[in-house]
Amino acid sequence: MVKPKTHSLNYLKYQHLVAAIREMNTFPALDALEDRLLGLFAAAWHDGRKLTVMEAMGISPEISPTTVHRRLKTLRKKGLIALVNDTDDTRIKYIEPTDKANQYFDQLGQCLSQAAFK
Amino acid sequence: MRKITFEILVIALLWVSLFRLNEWLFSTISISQHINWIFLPAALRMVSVMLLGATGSIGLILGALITSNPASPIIDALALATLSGLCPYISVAICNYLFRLPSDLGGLSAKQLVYFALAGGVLSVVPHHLYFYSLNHVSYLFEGAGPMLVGDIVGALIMLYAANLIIRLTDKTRALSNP
Repeated sequence: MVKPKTHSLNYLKYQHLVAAIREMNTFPALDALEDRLLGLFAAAWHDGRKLTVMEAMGISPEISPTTVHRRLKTLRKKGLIALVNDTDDTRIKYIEPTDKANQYFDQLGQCLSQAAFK
Repeated sequence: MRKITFEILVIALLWVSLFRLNEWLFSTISISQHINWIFLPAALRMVSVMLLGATGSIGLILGALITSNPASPIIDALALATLSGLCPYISVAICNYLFRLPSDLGGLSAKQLVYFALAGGVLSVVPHHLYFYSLNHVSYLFEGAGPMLVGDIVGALIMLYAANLIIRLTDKTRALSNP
């Protein structure tokens, strides 16, 4: 195998370093279910609906309530949703998007626009 | 040879510029000549050695010699400058080994980059303080180590996030100009 020349190796290092820096401050990776749930929640939020945890657990017949509950925990941990108590009945919790989630949707929107224009 | 000399001079120049910028911006929160709560050149230590290896290290030594206190003995200045160039070289080598990174840094992640900054901070503070203590510059071992460690890590992260911002802005501008 031919050994890369020093200058090209430095350039490769630079490329990989820039890629790592670019990756900083990005969103935590979502698994397929989290991504799907966040998409379903976003549709509800877009319609102006307030989404409770109970409603979320039955949001899709393909995903069991236990799985949804688990993913709610991970989405909360990743800072993409917040659980807010109802002012009158503290047993009711609403799922709300965080600023990070809004940024995530903005970024997805930008990606789509870029892809569409290319 | 000319290319290596050029790289050494560029790194030294960058060190001096960042060092002066740091003095200008953060002199109010500096604790001593060697310790500041924010030390921006820490990022250059890491990046120059990651990209250029020993050449980067020599550039750092030269830069640190230029910015050393003219009132301090030459031996002191030489020792501290050598630590300034050698410590990042060792920390980068250790991180490369631990993360099993190839020589072209392929697969380097943002998380690993933060670990590089942390390791760079620790491996700069410990030898510097051992040296300060051995010459009785500090009354007890690791006096002022906390602020120095914080300064190195915060400085490196500020620079990395600034670079991240610039890269993202450049990407955006490029995307808009090439629809």
